[in-house]
Amino acid sequence: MIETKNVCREFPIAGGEPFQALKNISVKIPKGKLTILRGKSGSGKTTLINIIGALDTPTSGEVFLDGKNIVGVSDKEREQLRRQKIGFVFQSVSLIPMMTVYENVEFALRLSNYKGDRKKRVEECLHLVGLGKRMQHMPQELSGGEQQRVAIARAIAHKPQVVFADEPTAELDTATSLAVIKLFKDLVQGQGVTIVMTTHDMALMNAGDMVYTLEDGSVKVE
Amino acid sequence: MLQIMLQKLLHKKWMVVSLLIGNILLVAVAASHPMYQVASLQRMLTDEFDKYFEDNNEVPTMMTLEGRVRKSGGMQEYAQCQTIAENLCKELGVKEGQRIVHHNLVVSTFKSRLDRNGVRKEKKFKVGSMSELNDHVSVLSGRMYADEISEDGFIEAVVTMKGFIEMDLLVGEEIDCKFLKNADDEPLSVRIVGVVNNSQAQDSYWVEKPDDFDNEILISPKVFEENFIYGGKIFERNTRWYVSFDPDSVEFLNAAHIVEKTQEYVALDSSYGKIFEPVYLGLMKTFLSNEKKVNVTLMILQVPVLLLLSAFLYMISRQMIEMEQSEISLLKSRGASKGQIFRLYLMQSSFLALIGFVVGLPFASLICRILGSASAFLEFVQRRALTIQYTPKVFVYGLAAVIISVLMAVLPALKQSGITIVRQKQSRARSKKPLWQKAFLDVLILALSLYGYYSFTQRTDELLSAVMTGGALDPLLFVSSSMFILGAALFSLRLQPLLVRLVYFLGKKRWKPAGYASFLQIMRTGSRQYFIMTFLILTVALGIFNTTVARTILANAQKNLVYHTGADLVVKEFWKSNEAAVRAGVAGRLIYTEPDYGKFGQIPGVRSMAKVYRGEDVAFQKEQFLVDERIVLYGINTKDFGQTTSLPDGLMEEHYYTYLNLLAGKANGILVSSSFRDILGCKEGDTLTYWLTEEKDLMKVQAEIVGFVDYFPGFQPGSYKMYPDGVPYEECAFLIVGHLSTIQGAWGIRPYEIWFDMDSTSEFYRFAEENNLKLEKCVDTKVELANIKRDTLFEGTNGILTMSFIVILILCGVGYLIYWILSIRSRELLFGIFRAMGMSRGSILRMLINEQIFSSLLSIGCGAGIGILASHMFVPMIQIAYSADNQVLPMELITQSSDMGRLFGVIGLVLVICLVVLARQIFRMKITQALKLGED
Repeated sequence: MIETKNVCREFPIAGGEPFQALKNISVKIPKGKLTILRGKSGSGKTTLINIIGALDTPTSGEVFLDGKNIVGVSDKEREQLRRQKIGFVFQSVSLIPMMTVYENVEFALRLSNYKGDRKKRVEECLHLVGLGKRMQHMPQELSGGEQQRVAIARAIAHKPQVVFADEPTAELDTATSLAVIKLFKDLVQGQGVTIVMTTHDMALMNAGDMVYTLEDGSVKVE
Repeated sequence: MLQIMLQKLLHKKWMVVSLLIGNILLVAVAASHPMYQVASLQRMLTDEFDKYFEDNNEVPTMMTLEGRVRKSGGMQEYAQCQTIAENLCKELGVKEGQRIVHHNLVVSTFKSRLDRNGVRKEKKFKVGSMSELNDHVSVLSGRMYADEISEDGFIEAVVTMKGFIEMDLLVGEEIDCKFLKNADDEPLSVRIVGVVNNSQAQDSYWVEKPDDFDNEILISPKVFEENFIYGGKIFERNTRWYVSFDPDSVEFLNAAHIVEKTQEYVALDSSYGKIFEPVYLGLMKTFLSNEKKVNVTLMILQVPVLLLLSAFLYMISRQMIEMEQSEISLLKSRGASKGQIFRLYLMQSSFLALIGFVVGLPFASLICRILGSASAFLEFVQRRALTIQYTPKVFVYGLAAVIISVLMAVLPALKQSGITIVRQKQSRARSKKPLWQKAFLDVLILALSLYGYYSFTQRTDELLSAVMTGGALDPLLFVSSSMFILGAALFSLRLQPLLVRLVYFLGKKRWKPAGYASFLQIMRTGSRQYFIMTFLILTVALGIFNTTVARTILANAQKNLVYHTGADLVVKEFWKSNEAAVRAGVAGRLIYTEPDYGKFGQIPGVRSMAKVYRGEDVAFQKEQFLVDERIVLYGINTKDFGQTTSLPDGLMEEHYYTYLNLLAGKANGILVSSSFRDILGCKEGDTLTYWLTEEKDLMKVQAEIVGFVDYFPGFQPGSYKMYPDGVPYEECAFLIVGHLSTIQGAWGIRPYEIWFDMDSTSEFYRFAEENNLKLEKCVDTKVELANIKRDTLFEGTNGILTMSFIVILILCGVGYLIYWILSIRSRELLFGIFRAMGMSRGSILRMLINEQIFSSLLSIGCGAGIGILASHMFVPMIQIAYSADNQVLPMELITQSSDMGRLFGVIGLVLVICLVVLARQIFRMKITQALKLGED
């Protein structure tokens, strides 16, 4: 359902040849599965996830989301896309500091103009990530793992077609990381969510339904 | 550590620049205070001496001592006076100008050897000597005396032109006196050898004019002293010392000493010796009392801007430290101790403060020059430049500013360095109420200031008497006004969250995500903005307050002056009269010769002119009341007078002309001041008689009251006087305005003033010079207005308020920009998250604008309100300091729209710049980069 065709991304370097972060990447990401983009630091995985997540645009190539090429569409359409069809989880804590846990999740619903019962949906999502009892806390009052779970709840709240998670476990200890991965798997299996995540942690790779390994901006076939 | 610090500073160049601006301004403003004080007070003193010299053509810095030696005594007093005279300038600490010694013997009888028609006349005159006479005379006839007794035994003498005539002496005439004997008891004779006169028309040497020597011959001082003072015999004689000093050598810091010492001398009064009270004593006493007033006023006017500058430094430093929290934690994780981090900040702030010191000091002298040329609020003129000195006090003030600046910068560091990262993160979570709110400090400050305000309104009498006895206004008054502004500012911050909450709940259902997020931002993190908000409120309020104070005191002083003068130009010619004949008993009645009035009509630029008779030696009787003091009688020609003068609209019930018309209708009608009605119970239609007290035989004039006026051009309805116990009271005056023709019909033509309505009075002066007019009185409103502006108190007030205003504008601009840009920058990650979640750039900008409305715009609005309120409350009381004794017209608060324009223009510009910078930053922001910010 997500497909990239010959995606290239260059970063200009002052007074030198541009740096090629991605070289002709063509991958397919299946629906309702957990796909892992694996690679060392600097291999281009974050660049790739940013491009398929409509945060960045490729220098060349095409990205299809549900059969629609999202490269070259207007800013407005991309914003709309991010609001409604995509959810993000970032490496560092990405919660909005002045909103409570509840409000953070609800804010995603407000942005996507969610039509249903917002309160019910927020509670549902927070229960899913196991934080039903901490809804009125401020993000800073939670641990790192809890905060990341709130971020996940927020990413799935508006029922996006795909959730992108860029190194969601990088700042967490192993046990918490495994818990987050378990949560992802539960969401994929239970809710049918499509999740794409990047990681440099070899231990987590087996969890993925599909794994792509990036090296120097190219996909290494395994 | 130095390297870390320099790197840190290079990294935050904008902050460093604004900290430097703050430091430089703080040092400059603080150091300019003593600098300006010294320079302006010195100028005030020199100006005062100059003015006296111009007005009286007489050196004010002169002391006259007199010693009288008699057979009965006086030698001791003579010696004392001589010692004082010789050491006076050294004692006073001034540069001696000249010391003239004038000896003379008491009048003796001389017998001339010259035969005049067979008679050898006897004459009575004095023998005297003047030191350094040779340098100040020219010989008209004969020659100058020799310094020795001539070989044939004569003392040589000269006489002045006047003496020559009055004493009827001839050059070469020899005269004898049996009292004049030398040490060997041989009689001495005098030979007149010359006639002299002053060699220069203007010569301060001639304290006694050459014409005053009409009864005295002058001999060589050497001969005089050898024979009559140190000759061994006691001659009865008088000696006067005229000691003068250079007015420019009087340092104002020395003024108190000079006054004290001089008073000591003047007190030495005996029948043989006397020291006359010198003119400078009065001038310097006035100066000393003004000095106190100027000093206190200058100080209290500068305090608010110094406080604001300190607050500015604190704010920026705090912001800087907040931004550097990650660096602090990095340093800590590498093993830096709390003390080391604290020292890093101490070093950094000292470094910046010292740069501020070095740059700020020369800047202070620039500020002084600006202050010294202020003529009105935001207006400058060219005038005698201030002599700027770097006294030790300047450095003390500068260093005090450095210390304050370092304190302001280190205070937040002290707070920070003790906080661990965990606590810091927790504290970020929810903003708690600040301490001052929990302690109700704002309410307390506000209540105190209101109490101060209330007690001052109850005690305006005391304010008045303090000012009238030369004191300054109670500094507490200024403290109260500043406290009111601060208290109200803080109090309004209490109201702001309520307002935000109200608006939020009113539209809760309607807010789009951007609005929703911004409301949460303001409500939850609002208290972090309290500082910039307080700063904005104070800035706007002080700006408005300052302009109002400056404009009001000057405008009221000017309006008062225009009212007191009455017209653009008021002159009185010198009238010839038969006064001498009356005094000699030859003529019976005093008759004046009226100078030609019509000639003034030729002066170009005269729009209209009027004859105005003003008499003060007038009495009136109304039934049982007889009043013979504090009466002013005007004799006017209503049409001319109305055309030449005017009064501000709305001053009286009816228009000013209505009253003049009432008067015009009746030949024996008079307008009288409302004191006639209020004190004597007069009504319209009542009649009274008035007459001149100085000339009893002139007829009494009967007149009918046609109207009552509260104000009349040039008439002061009441003035504040003081009882001996220091309680002020208002003394009413009585005004009678009648027809000039009626008064002249009764009393004949008496000297009147001519009032002119004209633009340029220079034409008048040219005319007066060409026609050799002798003027007894000449008051030029424009000149007087210019004098007001030159007054040190006004100049200082205007200067400091102007400077404060400019500093406020700079602080407001820089402070606001830096605060917002940095606060936005620190939220870049958050904006990245918002963008990733699909918010558009426009929504984020709208969110920020919404935030600005509820913080900045609200603050500006509050500031304006508080400023206006404070002006209405406190300016009338402050005004008292500047015009206590002659304020006639009701005081009016003056705000000039151009000042408000400048203030809000700058604020508006800053807001726009801020918005542009924000927009630019948001539109240039790359989401992916913003998000990376969060990864370290």
